Amino acid sequence: MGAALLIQAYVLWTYRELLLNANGPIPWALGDSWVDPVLPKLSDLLPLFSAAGLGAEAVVATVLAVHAVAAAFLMVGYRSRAAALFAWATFVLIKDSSPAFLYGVGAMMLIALFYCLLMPVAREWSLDRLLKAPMPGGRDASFSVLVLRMHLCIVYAAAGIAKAAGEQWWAGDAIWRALSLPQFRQFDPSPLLAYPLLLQALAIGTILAQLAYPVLVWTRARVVIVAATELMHLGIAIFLGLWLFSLMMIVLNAAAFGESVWKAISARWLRRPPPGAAASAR
Amino acid sequence: MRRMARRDKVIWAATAVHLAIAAFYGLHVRLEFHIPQALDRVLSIYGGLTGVRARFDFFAPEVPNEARADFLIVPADGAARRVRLAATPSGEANRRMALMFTIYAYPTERERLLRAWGEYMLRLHPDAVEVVSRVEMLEIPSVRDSAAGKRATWTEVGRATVRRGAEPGR
Repeated sequence: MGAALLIQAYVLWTYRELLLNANGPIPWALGDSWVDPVLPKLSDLLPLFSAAGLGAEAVVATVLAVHAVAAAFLMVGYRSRAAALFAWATFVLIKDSSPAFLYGVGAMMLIALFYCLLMPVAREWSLDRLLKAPMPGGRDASFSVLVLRMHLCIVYAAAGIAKAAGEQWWAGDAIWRALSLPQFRQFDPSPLLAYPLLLQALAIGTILAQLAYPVLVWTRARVVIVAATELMHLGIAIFLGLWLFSLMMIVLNAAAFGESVWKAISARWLRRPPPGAAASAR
Repeated sequence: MRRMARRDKVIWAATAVHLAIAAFYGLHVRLEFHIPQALDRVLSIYGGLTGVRARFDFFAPEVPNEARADFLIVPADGAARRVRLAATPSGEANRRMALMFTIYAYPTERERLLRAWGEYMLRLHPDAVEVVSRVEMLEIPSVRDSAAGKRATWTEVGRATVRRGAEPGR
């Protein structure tokens, strides 16, 4: 999660003149009109900076710098709760100041950051754990994992239903169109025209996988559907160039189901008994 | 069985409401048509801070068309030149720029977008006295039509002129 935020912060920093500038292609005055006035925006900080003799560029640079530092802390799990708070607050500022440039990755990052505020994200593999810092929210993540799983079920059910309502998806045109759009195009898709059934199968397979996800993740088929979903996101990254979005979805799936899937794989193929099996056998 | 502590009850209730909001919006229930405007606004703000109001309709129900824009830079003297916003080496940045042009699909925003882009180009090109913005939309034929030889085509869908120090014309 922290790594995904850092990658995004790097892109936003490098191209801030285009994507975040107060007088860019979408000036703040226009972008702000698309967002509820109550929601915090970069322009809200301008009077504060102006009082210190600084301009809009300083607002953008400061917020991005704080965001990047918070994302780095979140990535290594150092002062995780404070890092999540700063990463979330600065992300909301950035998101609400650049609504024209947002796509699915923004929605998924916001969901994940909000949960990072409340869930024990530093429970494992974190500097906080290493340094034995107090763990707000306790060490038991089972409730948090359940909530994240349910939210992912909503995400995939919604995505599946939305696709199922579109004629392009049943005809296979959706995959063809997505591969052909210049903003997603990674290779010349025209050889695929020789295999219309393949395009149709990929499209229908996507609908079915997304509709099946909320059901199958609660069954013994969890390993299969989670693996298929992770592979689908890898495919989206490779064939549509949506690396950041795919990284977010893979991370969220891994956070929700990774431990459980790994235990199942270990027990079945690596012949390792799941933890607690010996005790229950006694 | 141990009774649930009050704190736990509050957490469970809050979580249930949070996920219910996510489910309603995610599953395309148009709540805004059935609830008071004030409540809709509260949910909108809550969604803006938590992400629960997302609809997850990525590439759905249809894969949208792509838009692009070019700009005719007209200097006070000398030849006019046609430019685009330069593609960056970053696919992620380019995708976000492409999304910006796609907003042109919303009729209510067209005039303001063309004006904003024109004014931005005037700032980028100090020698220009006038910028003519032109927006094109890419029409991609279906698989069947493409296989029959029909090619994707860019079609002009709008244009506007912004003059330095003047209101935009059409």
